Amino acid sequence: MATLPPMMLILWAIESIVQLCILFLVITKRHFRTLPLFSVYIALLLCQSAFLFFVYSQFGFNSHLARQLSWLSEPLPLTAQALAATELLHRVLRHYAGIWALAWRLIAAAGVLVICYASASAQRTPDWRLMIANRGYHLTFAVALICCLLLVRFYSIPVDPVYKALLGGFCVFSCAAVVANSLLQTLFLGHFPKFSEVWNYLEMVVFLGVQIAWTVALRHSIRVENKPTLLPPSAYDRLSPEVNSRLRALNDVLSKFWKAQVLRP
Amino acid sequence: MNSALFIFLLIVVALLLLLAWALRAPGKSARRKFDLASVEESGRRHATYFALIRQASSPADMEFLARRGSREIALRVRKERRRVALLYLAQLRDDFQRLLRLARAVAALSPAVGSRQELERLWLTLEFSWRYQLIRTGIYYGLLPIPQLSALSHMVSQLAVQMEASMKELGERAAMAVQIASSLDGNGVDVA
Repeated sequence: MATLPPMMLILWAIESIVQLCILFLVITKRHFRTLPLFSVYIALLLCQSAFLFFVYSQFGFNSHLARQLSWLSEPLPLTAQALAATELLHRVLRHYAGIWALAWRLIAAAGVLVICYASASAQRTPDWRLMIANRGYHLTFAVALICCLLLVRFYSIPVDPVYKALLGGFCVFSCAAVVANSLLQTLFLGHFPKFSEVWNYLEMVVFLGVQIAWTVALRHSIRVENKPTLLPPSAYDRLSPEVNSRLRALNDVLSKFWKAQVLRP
Repeated sequence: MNSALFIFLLIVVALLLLLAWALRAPGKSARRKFDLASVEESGRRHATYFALIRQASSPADMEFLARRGSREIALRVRKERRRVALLYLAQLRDDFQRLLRLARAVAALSPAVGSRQELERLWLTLEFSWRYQLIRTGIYYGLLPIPQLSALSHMVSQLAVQMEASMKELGERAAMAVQIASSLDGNGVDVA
């Protein structure tokens, strides 16, 4: 561990303590009942920290093997992150079956789009495959999550502040990871001496901030919401086209209003 | 700065702005989320005031004022006409928003929604918004002449009658659907 900068060791220790606090709150406040996958995600983060601590103490921070092993430890927490975020979205939209179905399609469309981009750019630069895949994952994650949150806002669906904090945190961390990965590539190609440390610090500081925000949010219980009564399935089929045709009519009024002004001699 | 880094920075800034917007507390109007009853509230649809607007902006009045009145009065009248046109636009937007609220409430409370219908509505909303902003800015800054509303009167009068009847009907039907659903469910209806 001697090769690990002291500042990074301190940050790492703080991060582990905060993760333990989150796990403690998840258990004592019984959030694990409603958010089992999120609880697993936090537990996995702690396991990853322990694994990396072992790896760095055995092989050194800068060794090639340690780097390979640290990349290998990434897929599991990343999968857990995606599942935890999906679980949160499902909690928000569970009473709104139609919107949840729409959200799923949106996630799939955003995912396909960004994964295509990520795989195309990874093929162009094979040396940076892992980093580009990681960036692609975080970009997909952030885009899909934000699309769903926009959908939630568009339909004015109420979101508990705890869920808002957790979803917002996931998104901020993924955005930071996208910037950090792009910065790593730029600094490396520019022969910046401590490129790897800058990358690590950026990700660690942002993630620490996110986890502190989660700790604060998880101190509160999640409000129990009444299940709204859904309309019969035929109501949407009858009302929606009619509303759309009225909206089109109003749009036409505005369009003619515009033409009357612009085309006026 | 490397161009890739710059592009990703821009994307991330845009994503964070969208995130902040999506997570901020909803405004007062948005809080009336599932208020289906508001759609059929007793007020007349604003499109029905078109005849009055037409009268207020008659070009004959302006000609008369230019010939017989003072320049000051003509200016004041022009300003008033602009204000009336802007108010009318704002009321058209209110009608649009009300319909949109109904559509969102129906979609949110439906067990299945059609992507095509929702996408069409999103497109109509965007189209209405940019057109509304263009016209409003144009009239406000005097870049566009105050509309010759008489040319539209026939079309809008027709629409006004249809709109008045259909919005009332849609609201009643939506409220009835909620009532039926809640009586089947046996729970209180969470639509207010």
